[in-house]
Amino acid sequence: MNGTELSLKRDTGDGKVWKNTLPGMWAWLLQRVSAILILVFLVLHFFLPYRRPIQFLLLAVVAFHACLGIRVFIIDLGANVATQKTLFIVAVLLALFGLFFVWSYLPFGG
Amino acid sequence: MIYSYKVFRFDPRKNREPYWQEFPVDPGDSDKVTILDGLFQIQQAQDKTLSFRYSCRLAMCGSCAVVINGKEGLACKTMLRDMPKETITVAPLRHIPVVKDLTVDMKGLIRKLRKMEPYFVPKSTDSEPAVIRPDSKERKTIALNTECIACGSCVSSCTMMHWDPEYLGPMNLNRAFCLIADSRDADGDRLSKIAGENGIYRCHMEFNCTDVCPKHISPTRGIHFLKREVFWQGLKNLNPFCRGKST
Repeated sequence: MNGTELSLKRDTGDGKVWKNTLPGMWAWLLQRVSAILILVFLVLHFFLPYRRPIQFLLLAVVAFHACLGIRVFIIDLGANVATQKTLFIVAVLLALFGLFFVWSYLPFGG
Repeated sequence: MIYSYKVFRFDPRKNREPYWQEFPVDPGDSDKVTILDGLFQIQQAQDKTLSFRYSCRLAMCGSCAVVINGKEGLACKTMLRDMPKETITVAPLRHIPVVKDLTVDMKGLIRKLRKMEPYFVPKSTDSEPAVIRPDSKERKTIALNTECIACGSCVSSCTMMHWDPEYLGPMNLNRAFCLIADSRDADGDRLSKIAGENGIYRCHMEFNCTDVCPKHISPTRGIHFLKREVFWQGLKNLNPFCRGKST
């Protein structure tokens, strides 16, 4: 042996890897990315208050993060794991509905 | 139809870098040809040096787990006719050192498994066989998870193994789950061994292991059972009247 030890890893630069990414993983990624975006939009919101695009984006990422968090919470509490893909779809729909409801009926930015 | 196998090649004794090699595979008229049959065809007719592992050929032993078109699966269970394209990539399992070509070294995984006492430790010395009702709550909780064939597909699909090579991994934690959920087993300090940073909390619930398991087991479910067990054990330890007692 020439001493070379090799373990294959998930190559995120390879398009095929993303094509094979499964719903549970997308749910996880979406929640992590939304967490980072909350920080970004929250900081922007502090420095640029009452800007409707920023308010909308902040609300959108909070809605997605919260709804995906509820999905995690339900599974953590012992829900059947076979429902995780359905719960992902429900969480996304819930986030869209929540976003629409809050944006349409609550007074933001005047 | 002639298929083209794009096979990962790497011999640590000869190669500095891995490479991909293409081989034509003709399944003939049969539609019952598996990925493993294709590998046999290559080894017997084209390149005798191709290395891969197999044993039972009927999805029982888990030896032939490989990454087929980017997704983990058993070569003996995956049919050629189910492949979407004529070109099929076959690679060894991820996150496990490659011995040669498609053969991986499971030694590291077994070493981690040994650390957490992966064997049944009976609570009682009763020599009578235990009566386990199939409809009992405990049996339903453990469910199919005892059917794990230790193929390593879950370990390969888990992205947490990518970031933390010391993570016990879904395969090992599934074994711990089967034992801890069994009331006949004396847990000892197995729960504390898996509760660390490289144990159950490294699972971020991506469900990759559940999606690729060839035996349709959900290690994620087992890991979350263990998370709840650790939580309840922690709460019990807060109670001064229960402190110090095991389960």
